[in-house]
Order: sequence, then structure tokens, then C-alpha cells
Amino acid sequence: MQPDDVILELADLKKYFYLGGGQVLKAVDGVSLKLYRGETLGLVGETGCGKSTLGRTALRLYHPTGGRVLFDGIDIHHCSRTENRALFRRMQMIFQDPYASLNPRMTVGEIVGEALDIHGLARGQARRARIEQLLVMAGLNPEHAGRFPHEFSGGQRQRVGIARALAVEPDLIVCDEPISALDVSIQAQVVNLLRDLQSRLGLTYLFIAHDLSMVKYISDRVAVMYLGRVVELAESHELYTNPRHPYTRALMSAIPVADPEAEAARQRIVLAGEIPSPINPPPGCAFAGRCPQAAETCRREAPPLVEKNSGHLVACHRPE
Amino acid sequence: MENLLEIRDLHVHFTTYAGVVQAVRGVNLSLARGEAVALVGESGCGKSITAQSIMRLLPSPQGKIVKGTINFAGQNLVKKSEREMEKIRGNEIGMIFQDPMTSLNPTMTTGNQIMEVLRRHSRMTRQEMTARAVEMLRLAGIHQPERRLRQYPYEFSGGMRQRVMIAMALACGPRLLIADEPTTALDVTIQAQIMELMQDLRQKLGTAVILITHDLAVVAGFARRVMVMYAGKIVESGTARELFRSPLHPYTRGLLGSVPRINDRARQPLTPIAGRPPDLLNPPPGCAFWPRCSEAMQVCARQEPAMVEAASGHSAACWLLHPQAQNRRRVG
Repeated sequence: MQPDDVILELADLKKYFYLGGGQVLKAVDGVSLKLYRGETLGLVGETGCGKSTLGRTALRLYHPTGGRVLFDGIDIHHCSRTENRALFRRMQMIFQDPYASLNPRMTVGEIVGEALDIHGLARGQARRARIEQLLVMAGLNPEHAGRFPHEFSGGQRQRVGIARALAVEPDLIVCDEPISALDVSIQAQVVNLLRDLQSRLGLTYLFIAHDLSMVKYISDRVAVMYLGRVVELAESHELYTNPRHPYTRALMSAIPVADPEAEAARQRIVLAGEIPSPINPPPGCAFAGRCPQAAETCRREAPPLVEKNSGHLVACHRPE
Repeated sequence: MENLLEIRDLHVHFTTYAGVVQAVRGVNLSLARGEAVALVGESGCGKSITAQSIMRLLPSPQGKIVKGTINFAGQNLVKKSEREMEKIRGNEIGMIFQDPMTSLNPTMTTGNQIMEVLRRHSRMTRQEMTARAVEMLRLAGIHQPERRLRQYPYEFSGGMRQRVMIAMALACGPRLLIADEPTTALDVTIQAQIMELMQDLRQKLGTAVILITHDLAVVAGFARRVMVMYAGKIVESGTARELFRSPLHPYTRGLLGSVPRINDRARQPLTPIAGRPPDLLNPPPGCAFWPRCSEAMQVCARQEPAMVEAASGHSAACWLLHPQAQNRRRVG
């Protein structure tokens, strides 16, 4: 990973949904992030914090309300058709639900081959060989090409999703909760596969998940989102050992640990209340209503995301 | 003192188009009054079916208890008629489910849903029932219970609905609460709130709890005793402390190795369990785990290991615990 080799840059990205009746859902509200080539950036947060919307906007599945997404310096939402096509080949997505994201009427070979056809990457014998190669890369058997998704377990389907994403030789893969629908022992298999593929193919991942321990495990850096904004961003070990935003601290303390002694010793910060609605959110810091340290300023002004120490960014008026 | 719940050699079969699925294959479980135990395992291991058997809520006519006894406070639940079970469900045994979105009735106010339980099992007047419902909601940590009582489930968030479910399950003061994946659909901060609430209520009300979950980490902070299920059987059982520190069964070790340690700086590679659980239409002979087990021996494929107590209160069903396998263990 080279610190100055930026593959994806989000600049003040906003995605609002207009619900009618003057209601605006600010799913992503001014996020600036940089993804370096070859790294894994984890994106964590609770339901409704905007992490999936962010991932989808970054892939051009949504058109942003404001701000820009630069992929290798090209603004992906305002570029020519030919550039577009080339860009789509370089960014892919793996979805959460391996049951809903595969067409039940297509064989696995057709699902993986469709990507090859759209981009005209291989034909005939070469196409068949490539499909088999991709299935093997994802830890399946070449014979699986002729089977339908319903013949596979959840973990195997997720492998099909991975093979499909790899078919076009992408640089960037947005993984949106790729393991949360899987059983524990299968989760580890898929995560190991993703890590292995990353080191072999030099992939960059934007890894979206709510399972904090898994995110820490797979990510180089982690960004924490709360109500449409990034509240903290740091190298993963730094974030987990030295969280500075009160929300991150509460989130970290809520992670259960598979160790009864650590559990007994743990000081849990149990937050009062729940995430406020992203529809017409309160002014000031979105977390102020639940924050044990909130002061007057917090309710008035939203704190900007600033670097507190090297590589550790926090958006808080009164960080720890 | 006599145990509150005693399950002996429970077998549950499901008749499907493909054949008979042996979902539960000889589960033994005992629970003292006021105790909290956890039943851990992956999907399809039979943990929820075990819970549904206690409540006699197995899908009918496919699901059937074919063998075994479930002794609850001196009565065998397997032999109870549907009429008799209706008096026990909600009254003596409460249950909460994974999905609070679908387990509440969307057309009834939460107050009415709690009162429905009371109406069925008690002779309270309407005022007493309202007072009890308010008390239960307050106990479950819901603010302004008098107002919330008149609201419908859609007006509650996921965490709040689970609190309503807990209030409802505990309204009649049951002696046993079965919580089937109560926090799986919730965010971590809300999960922490709900687990704390359950622990708190258990201590306050003295209700015994069976927590069913796939998440080992959730178990560690809640239950004193843990049972690990695999392919319809309990393969390891012990105190949480023992089981997490020195797991005996390779499957338990595999599960623990599949979860990253949050304090691990070096990012040790995860050691997942290869393959996937067996098909319970035709369970393999011998130990059900041997095809996935890295330490499998010849005997594992042929004969089923019995539960062996290796340390006080800590037992597992694995051939590695057999005296003749001692050398092999040291090598492995």
C-alpha cells in the first residue's frame, strides 16, 4: 500500500432521498474519504447510518445529491460513456444476501459468464476456461458451472458472488456485508478467501459491515459512520485500542468478546436511546442527544472531521 | 434440589418430501431454578428445534418428538395434550424470538398484546391488567409506559419491540424463559442494552433462562453454563469459563478459531472449519463432525463417541478424550 496512491476519493459526498411532504432523508451527508490502492478500508456503523448508501453511491449505483466520487482521478458521475464502461469494469460489488443477489434461473456458469460477455472479455473455449478458473479461484469446483444457485449453501453462493465480481478483473470491490448472512465457521472461510484474493490480485476493498471484530480483522483502516457522517477514521488497531469519539467508544465497549473473564471485567458504556431518525436530523452534532459529554456547542454546530494525531481523524468538539 | 427442566434423550424427526430429517438426535439437558444456560450452534444444528420441543411448538404434522422426555417442574411435557400445553405456554414458560418485527401482532396495541397473556392465565380485573402491563413495560426499560401501551408495534424501533416481547414473555412470571436468538436482528449497542436487560430481569425475578444463539461472544457475558450443539447433538458442555479457556471438542475449538480476537494486533489468520455441516437426512455413522475434523481418527468414522466428563462439570463427546487416544492427542 502506498500512502499517496489514491484509487478512490469521495469529496463531500451527499446522498439525500426526498420522501415527499418536505421530508428529506440525509443518508449520506458530506463524507470525504480516500481509499489507497491495495488497502482494505472498513466502514462500520449501525443500521441506517448510511454505510450501504455510501458504498452504492461510490459505485455509481446511486446518483449523488452533492459532492464527487473520483476513481483514479476521474469523476465517475460526470464522465463520457466510454470512460464509464471502462470504469464499471474496474469496480465491482459483493452483496450481503447470497440468496437474493443471484438469478435463480441462471446457472452459475451463466452468472459468472454474463460479466465476461458484457465486457467482451472471452469467447467460446476461452470463456469456458475462464469461468472454470474463476470458480476455482473462489474455492468452488469447475463442475459447479452447470448448477443452479438453489443447489448451493449460503457460503458457496457467496463464493459464486465473489467469482462473478472477479470475472472482470476489477481493482476495487465494495463488499457490502458479505458475511453477515453466513454461519460463524463459514464466515471465517469467506473472509480468509477475500484476504487471500486481495494479496494475490492486489485488490482494494471497501468493506462494509456491522460486525466490528470481523471488520477490525480484515481492515487496514476503519471509518465509523453515524447518521450519514464519518465520525472517526483511523488505522484499525489504533481505532480499536484508542477510540476518541464518544460514539466509537460506546460502540467498541458494546462488542461482546468470546471470553467470560474479559466480559466480566469489561466496562460497558451502554448508550441511552437509539439512533435518531435520519429524516430531518437535529442541528449540530448528530450524536449530541445520546452523548454523555455533550455540551452547548455540540447542539449548535456540527463538528468537522479533523486529524487529531497522525492518520487519526475525529469529528468531535470534545474528543477523549 | 430438583432441576426445573430435565431433557432426556430427546429425538425430533421432520418428515419432508426428501425423507426424514433427524433434526435432534438425543439431547440431554438439565437446568436448575434461576439458572442461565446457553445453547450454541450453527444454523440447522437443532438448537431452535430443541427449544420448540420444550414449548411443543414444532410445526405440525411434519415435526415430531419420536423419543425422549422433557421434564418441567415434575411434569413430562412430551405427554401433555394441546389443551394442557396452552396453560403452560406464556404462563410457566415464556419465549422470545429472533425477529421482533414479525412476532408481534401489527393490528393490536402493545398494551392489548401484553394483557391478552394475562387475560388467558390470570383472573385479574382490567385495571389490574393495565397496571401489570405498565409495570412490565417499565421493567423492560420502556419510558412513558402509560403512553406506549396505547401504541402499535410499528411505532416502536427494533430494540423497543424486543423489549415489548420480553415484557410480554415475563408478564405472568414464568419460571423459565427461552430466548431464541434474541439479539441477532439488532445492532451491537442495542444488543448490549437487551442482554443487560435480560441479565437484570433474570436476577430480579429469578427466572431461569435458556439462551439460544450462534454467537459465542454473546454467550460469554451471559450464561454460566454453555452447551455446544452440532448436527442434532450436544457435543460439549461446561461452564463458560472452562469452555472458552480450554475447549475439549474440535468443533468448539473450530468455532472459537473462526472468530477474530478483538485484541489481536498481529491479525493471526483465522482457522475456519473446512466443509459444512452434514445432511441430517442421512447423518453419517460415527461422530457427525469427523468429515470436517482435522484430528479425526479411524474410530471416529465408525463409532459414535459418548459424552465423557473430562473435568468436573466439563464434558464432551469426542474420541480424543478416550484414554487410548491420549498419546495421539499429545502428538496432534
